[in-house]
Amino acid sequence: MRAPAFLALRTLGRNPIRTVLVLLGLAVTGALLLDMTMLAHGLETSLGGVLSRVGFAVRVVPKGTLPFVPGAMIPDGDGLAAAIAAQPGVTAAVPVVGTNIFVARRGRRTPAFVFAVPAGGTGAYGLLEGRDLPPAAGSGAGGRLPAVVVNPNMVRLDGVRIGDTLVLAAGPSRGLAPVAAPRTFRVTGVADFYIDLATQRSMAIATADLRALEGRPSGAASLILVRLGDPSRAGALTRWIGARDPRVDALSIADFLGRLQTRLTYFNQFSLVLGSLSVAVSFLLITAIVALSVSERLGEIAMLRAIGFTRARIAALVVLEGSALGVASLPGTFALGLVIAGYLDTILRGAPGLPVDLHFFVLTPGAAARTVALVLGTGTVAGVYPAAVASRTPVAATLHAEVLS
Amino acid sequence: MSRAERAEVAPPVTAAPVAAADAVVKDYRGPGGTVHALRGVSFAIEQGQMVSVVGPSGCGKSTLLHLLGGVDLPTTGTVTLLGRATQTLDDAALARLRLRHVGFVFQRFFLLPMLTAEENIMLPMLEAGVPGGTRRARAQLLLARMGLAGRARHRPAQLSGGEMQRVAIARALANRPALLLADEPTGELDEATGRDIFGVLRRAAEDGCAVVVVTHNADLASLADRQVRMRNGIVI
Repeated sequence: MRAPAFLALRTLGRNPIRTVLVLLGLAVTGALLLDMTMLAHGLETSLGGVLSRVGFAVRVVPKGTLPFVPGAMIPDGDGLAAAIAAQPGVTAAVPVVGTNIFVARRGRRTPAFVFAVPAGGTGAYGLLEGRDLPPAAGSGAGGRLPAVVVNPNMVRLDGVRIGDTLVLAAGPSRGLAPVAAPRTFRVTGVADFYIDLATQRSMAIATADLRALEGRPSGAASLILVRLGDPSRAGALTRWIGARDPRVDALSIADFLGRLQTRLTYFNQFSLVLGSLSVAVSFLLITAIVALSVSERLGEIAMLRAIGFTRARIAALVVLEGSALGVASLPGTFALGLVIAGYLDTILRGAPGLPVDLHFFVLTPGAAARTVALVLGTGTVAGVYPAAVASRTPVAATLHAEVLS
Repeated sequence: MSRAERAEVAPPVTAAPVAAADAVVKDYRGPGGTVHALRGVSFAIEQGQMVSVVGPSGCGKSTLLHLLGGVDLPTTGTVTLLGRATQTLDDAALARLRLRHVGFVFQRFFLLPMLTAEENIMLPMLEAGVPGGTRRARAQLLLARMGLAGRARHRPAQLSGGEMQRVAIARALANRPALLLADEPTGELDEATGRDIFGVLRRAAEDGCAVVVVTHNADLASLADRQVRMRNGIVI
């Protein structure tokens, strides 16, 4: 294969301007392909990264929902969490209530999202500074104000500081008649809630305090977060939970991402269509340029056959030319693709309602490998037709025609 | 040239004849009907011989050359190359035979423009799997023998017509062929350069190669050991 490879590489440099133009074209189509492979699983990968960072291997949600769907609750969340916690290998089972709430401060009422957890130290959020919620349920015991942990957006947008007091209410105003009266909380810490929107105000309070605020009966939960000593046991645990309570879905991170993926099929379809188009354009571009190159070199190809190159070696030479074009386009493909992906990601993440840590375009080893394989495969397959033409060149007739021309 | 250098470029000793055609007929069928290019040609060449084939255009000279070199097959009759009938070999076997034992020189040189003179000469050796060091040494020896030692790194566009043809001959001799076939090698060269090229081919024959040269030029043809005259597809 050394002679065909040697000749294929040298042929690329034979007409440098034409080769550079083709490589630029391939870089553009390859960049689109890279972006589409990044987009196809970008959100899933990005969310998977966030979920893995949080550290809970299993999430239990009301059947058929995703966490914190308004109104969807696990009726006996506390009881189910206790039963799960008693299972072997489970190190924590945290029932979380998530709901919208209002913060009254300096004469304004601002909507916010509250995570209610049984106590501090659950790991449902990551404390950045200050103190977490107290470990005992009902943080307002002993005459102290109940505690609240806020997210950095509240610090940045509302000027909230540790030690400040916040008045929380279940409803937007007195006119909308909240079931229970507002209560005053003291800010004890600032935490990362992992999946916040760009301007979302989030906070954590004790579950007992939320129930007192809302006047709800106890026991229900929006979500149960389960931490395992050995995350590989997640499958067995989810099956056990599903059998115990058919009103819930127990999802491992993979299950969770799979359920999310079914709601993001349009991204897959979008990337499949545009990715296929870019592959088709690359294929046609390489086929056209290699076929043109072969037609210009029929005399030389006949000469190579005459001096002893077999049909198979001629075919290999031409296929390698297509492959070499694919290989040579890869640096441009990745450089241009990453720049465009960054720009598009910025635009898409600017849309309202998107968590800050999520990205649409994520370069993973898998996405890179798929792109490289598709580019190289396209280059190789695109060389097949010109290779067939070249290998079937009639030697004597072509040499004769070359002399006459 | 020293005895060792001569041994390096000379072909191995071969049983006679190196190539032969026996009652060979070659027809080409086309839209305008059948063209009878060869009508029963017999021909043989032995090691160290230089034979010129002369005749008017269209008399079948190039066709005979292509048949002798195994790039085309006869319609009827037999062509033997190093004792093997070309019709009995498949395409790959014929290609291997050409690679190892036949050198071609073309009127239009067919040097690859993106390769240097040295790389053009090394190409058949690369395809034949000759080790790199041997390839380079033999290419340099052939370049020196062609009087082109200083042109190794030049590309064809930087060479004159005569220099290009000498590089093409060096390429044809690279794998030490038993048979060297030259189709109008002086067709695009002036008289003096053509004579020089004939001299190079003559030396190849003296080194043991069987050389067949197709030419229009009667003066140059007379420099060969033997002349074969053709007309209308037959040897006269």
